[in-house]
Amino acid sequence: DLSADPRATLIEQEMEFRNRPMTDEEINNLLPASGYKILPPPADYKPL
Amino acid sequence: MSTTHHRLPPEVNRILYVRNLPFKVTSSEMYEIFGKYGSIRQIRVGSSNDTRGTAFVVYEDIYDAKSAVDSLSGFNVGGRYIVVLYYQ
Repeated sequence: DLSADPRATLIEQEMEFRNRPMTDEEINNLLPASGYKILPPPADYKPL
Repeated sequence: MSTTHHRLPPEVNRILYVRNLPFKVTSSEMYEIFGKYGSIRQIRVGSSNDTRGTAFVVYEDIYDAKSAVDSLSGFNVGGRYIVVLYYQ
């Protein structure tokens, strides 16, 4: 199965790292400091 | 939302840069268009003269961001064809 293949586990680890939750601060550091404002989600927004 | 384990190219990431949006695009329009591909972590819209019409859409999951980019470039919003890129 997939986990037996060491290369797959490396890929999984990398993808887990690239998919780790981001803090607000991390996002602030990644995005331009000015010129943009956060758009509040609509009241009825239900994440998939 | 696929959580397959194949590796994604390095430029693929969860932050998308969107251009050519109508200036008065609303929150529900943005969440409607981009929310179809997965849960959204945050959206920022351009609020100054040189950033108006552009936005950043941050997804929770990198595979959702990829499906949004693959499907949305050239999507028509309010008569304009939006450009959706990975933000580097």
